[in-house]
Amino acid sequence: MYIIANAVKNIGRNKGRNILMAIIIFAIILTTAVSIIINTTTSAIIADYKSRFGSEVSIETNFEMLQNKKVAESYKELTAQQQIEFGKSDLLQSVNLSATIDISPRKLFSLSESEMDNFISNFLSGATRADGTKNPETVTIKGKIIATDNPEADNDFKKGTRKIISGEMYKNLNECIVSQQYADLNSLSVGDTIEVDSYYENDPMTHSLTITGIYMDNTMLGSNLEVISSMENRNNEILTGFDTAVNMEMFNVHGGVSVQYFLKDPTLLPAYEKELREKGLADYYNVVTDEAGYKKVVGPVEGLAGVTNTFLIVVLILGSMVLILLSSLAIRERKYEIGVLRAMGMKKSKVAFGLLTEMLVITVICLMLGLGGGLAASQPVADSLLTGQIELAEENNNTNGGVPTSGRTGLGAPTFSSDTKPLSELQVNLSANAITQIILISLVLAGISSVAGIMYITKYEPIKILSERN
Amino acid sequence: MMSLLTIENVSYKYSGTKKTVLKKVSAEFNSGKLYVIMGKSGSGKTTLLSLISGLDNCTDGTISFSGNPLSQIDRDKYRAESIGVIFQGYNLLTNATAVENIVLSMCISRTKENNKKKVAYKLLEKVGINKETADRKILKLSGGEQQRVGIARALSHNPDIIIADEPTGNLDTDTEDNILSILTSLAHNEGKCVIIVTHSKKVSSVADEVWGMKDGNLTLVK
Repeated sequence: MYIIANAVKNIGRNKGRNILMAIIIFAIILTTAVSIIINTTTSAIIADYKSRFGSEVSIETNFEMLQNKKVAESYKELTAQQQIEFGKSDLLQSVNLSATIDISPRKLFSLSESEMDNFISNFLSGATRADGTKNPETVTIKGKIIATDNPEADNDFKKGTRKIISGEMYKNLNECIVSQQYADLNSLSVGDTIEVDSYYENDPMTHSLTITGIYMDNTMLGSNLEVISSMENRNNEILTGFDTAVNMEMFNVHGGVSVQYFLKDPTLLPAYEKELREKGLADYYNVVTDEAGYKKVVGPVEGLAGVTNTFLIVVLILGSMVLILLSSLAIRERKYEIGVLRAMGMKKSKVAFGLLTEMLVITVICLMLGLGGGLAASQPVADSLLTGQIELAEENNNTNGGVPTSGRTGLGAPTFSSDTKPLSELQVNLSANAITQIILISLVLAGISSVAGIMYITKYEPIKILSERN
Repeated sequence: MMSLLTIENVSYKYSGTKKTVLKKVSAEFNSGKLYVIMGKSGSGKTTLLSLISGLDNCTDGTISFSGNPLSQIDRDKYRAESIGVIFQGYNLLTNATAVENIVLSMCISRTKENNKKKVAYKLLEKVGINKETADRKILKLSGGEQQRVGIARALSHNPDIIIADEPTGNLDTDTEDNILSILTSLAHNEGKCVIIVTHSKKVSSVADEVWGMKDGNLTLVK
């Protein structure tokens, strides 16, 4: 106990030397705290995004392989049934199924009807089918059915650009919701039944849907795009369940399917790809995750983590060197004191413990100040560094002409649902993990500061130390 | 009867030199006596004290305390509890106060005193250091005052042997008499073994035995 008391008194007895040591230790702890606080925050963000981006799987066409004539001749688009089948896997956590069917309701008006509708319809329907048979006569496409098996995952409803203002979301087969403007135009209300028709004139396929809700649509609010056709006007979209859509006769002719696959773990990608190949997925399809989206969103944060990591390593190496140098110089001054204590019969271990206690007390004071200072400084430092990284990323993007580095292009290629806006804000926080790391580093610093003295004690007999001084 | 301190054929050479500082020195020191070792500077007196006080190891021979060779006992414990050394160069903690030096010595030797500070003040007063001076840092004390703090420290843990290297060298006549009286009393009244290295004839005149050191050889003079 007296060793601790003596060590604490010693701090006051040697103010100059200890203040100098404290300033250096404080500076190291402060910079370490800033780096670690930013690092632990960015690590958590990176891990979160890695999990999210790494989990969402897309199946995309490998256009390079299609350059080969033989491959191109054997090319077949993925059928709706195949895409649904691919979703039946134990490796998947969830699957979001969605379908679209172009329609031309005969008894309903559509918003933004114009001459362009006919032109677009003709363009999309084509004169002949893929199998060579002739398409029947068509009428103008005046809207579309959008179906999903998980309405809660719909981005428009999640972001609030669409909102149910009357009734409720569809739940059962043959239920739907329509936009407020569409309902007003056709004098529709919740509980009404509407008939939707395919756009084949000579053989229309009709399906009845019951309206369970009316939604407000703000998806085109503020858009500079002038609505020139009913197909482009999103107020014409009739929203329904995926099962309802696939049960419609017209789905088999005009329906298109889009599927989002979410793995239980990003590391399961190779196993999932193997499974898809076994289910018949052709080699000219790639099974990929949204790497480009991930890089765009997390890239600046990763850059920030890299900068702080490098900074931390440099500070720790330089700081440790300065501390060793300073403690070596300080021990020249202290060796007399060590010699006296040893001559008085104090054991080497106790002298060493006393020196270590002194440094620990100084370090703990610096740690408390450094943690507070680090927490206060880390937010502005993180903001400043992140801004720099975002600017750098934008510059790089401009240099590439704005072309994404990953090949997720081409007709029919599925798109990722991820919000690909880069992170522009980083809310740093002092986690338990960060505190533990800072404390451990501080303890190592205290050890480093004491090491010269401890080595000196173990090396020499007291008479040698005292005779050198005398 | 077994001697408190026995020196048998002790030789000493500084490492890296050929010169032998002590040559097969033998002597016995007992409780209740005051011994004086005299000799010219460089004759090996201080070296002998360093070996007796366990601060250094002899090259050859044996020094035993109560029959136990120093090489076989815990020398830190021996220095802390069994021996009190009054150094010629004082060897005090210069940034600490006089009283703190004494209290720390008592703590190291595990002296069972509840109020160590009070005992320390008393000891300092005994050697002529008042409370005001006792609370001053060693650096702010004169050589004579530091010498007296060194003496008080050597007595603080009530050791069996007290070794003093020129303990009165920096003291005025009155203080010298006082210190001599204390050391004599410790030997004759409290049964301590007191060994003093000195050039002073006044000190040697009160000794029970006087030993002479010449060219590394120790001989009984009186």
